[in-house]
Amino acid sequence: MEHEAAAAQHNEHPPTTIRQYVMIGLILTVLTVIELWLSYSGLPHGPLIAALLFFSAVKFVIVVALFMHLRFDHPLFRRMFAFGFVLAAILLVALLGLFWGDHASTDLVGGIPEGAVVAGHGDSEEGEAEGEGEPAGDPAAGMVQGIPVAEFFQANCVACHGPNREGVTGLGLPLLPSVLDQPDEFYHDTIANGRTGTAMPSWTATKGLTDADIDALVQFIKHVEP
Amino acid sequence: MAAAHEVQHHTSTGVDNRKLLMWVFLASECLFFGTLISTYLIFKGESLVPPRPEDVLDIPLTSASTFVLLMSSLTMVLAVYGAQHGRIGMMKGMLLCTVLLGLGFLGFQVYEFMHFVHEGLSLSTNQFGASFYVLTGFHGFHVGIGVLYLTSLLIGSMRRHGLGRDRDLWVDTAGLYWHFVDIVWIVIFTIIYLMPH
Ligand code: HEC
Repeated sequence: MEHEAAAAQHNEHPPTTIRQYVMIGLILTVLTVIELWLSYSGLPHGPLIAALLFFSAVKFVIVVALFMHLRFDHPLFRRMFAFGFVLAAILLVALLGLFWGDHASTDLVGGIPEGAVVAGHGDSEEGEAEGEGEPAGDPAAGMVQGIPVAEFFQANCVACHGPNREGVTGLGLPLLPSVLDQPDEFYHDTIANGRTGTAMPSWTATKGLTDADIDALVQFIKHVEP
Repeated sequence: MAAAHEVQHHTSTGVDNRKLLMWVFLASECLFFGTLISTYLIFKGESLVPPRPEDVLDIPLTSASTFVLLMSSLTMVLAVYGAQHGRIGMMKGMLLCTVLLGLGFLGFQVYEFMHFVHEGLSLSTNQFGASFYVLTGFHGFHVGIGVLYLTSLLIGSMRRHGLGRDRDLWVDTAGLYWHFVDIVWIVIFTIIYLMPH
């Protein structure tokens, strides 16, 4: 009799028929084609991303509910999976909140909320950047590619040189007025050409910095305290 | 004979522990891939040196491999259907199709990786290389494990007693794993390939 009990339990099959499964497969394909079409449609980024996320969420739900038949299965399975999924979603939001745009490319700069900078160390540099209106020649007021030098530094250099220019062990050296005792040309050259064999890239090559941009950076790291 | 008629285990949860184990595992896999996807998004657009995604990604090619994986989910669900309704021939055939489609997907991925390396993108080239290879590489690894998993079922089903009394449970559980790997790809495809760079 154990037999029949077991068989009965095993017979709680999802009610889906072969035909329906094939239909679902077709629907998933059509959704993918729509996504593909959207990605080529030249829609503005905002709506495009929203639409893509929407369609992939729909596909996700269809597969989990019908192919993995969670819709017809024991609630325990549903709760188990929902738990992991929600935790992962929270993790994603938290990580993006913490790190997104942390050392973002220049076009993101300015839009970065203060809190997004790792451990909130960015404060002092952001402060310097506000001295835009100060007289020319002020090393804190320089501009690099049209944005305040401190912000440029924050966006491009802190990953290796540290949020307070204190250096990062194993990565970039400290860039503080107290330690930078070489002539300006020396640092200019390093920033322009990078240092072969180290992680320091050429900023003329990677970002197209001009000599004037690099001068502003050199003045900034040599004369402005973090 | 007694062994073959293994008694259905009674569990305090009222569900089969083996299937529960798979769901718990898949729940933890959400976190695994969630972290890798977050990392990819955080590093997106942060590469100091080329190649960047827009230089190397081949969307038509990947759409084809996405389609292959999607179809493998369909054949998988039909294999589960066969197992559940005692249509053993269908089960075996569909398992075989799923394995082949899975191998096809892996073939696409190997080709893609080789092509990217040729274009100068390696794991250590830039942030994109690092996060891209780790994320899609781990996904491919999961597909590979899935192929072995399904192959073992296929071989098991060729034995004299087939997969035994728990046949539908075995195939069903493997199906859960396979579909999960497919939904991870649904997300990866959208985020890496379709989202604007
Ligand atoms: C990918 C990591 C990385 C980034 C990003 C980076 N640097 Fe560097 N930088 C280094 C490394 C590593 C060194 C040390 C090279 C060595 O050991 O000689 C260095 C050295 C320097 C030096 C010479 C310091 C000295 O005392 O000799 C200067 C100046 C400098 N970087 C400026 C910058 C500026 C300005 C930026 C942003 C535009 C920047 N770096 C971004 C890695 C980086």
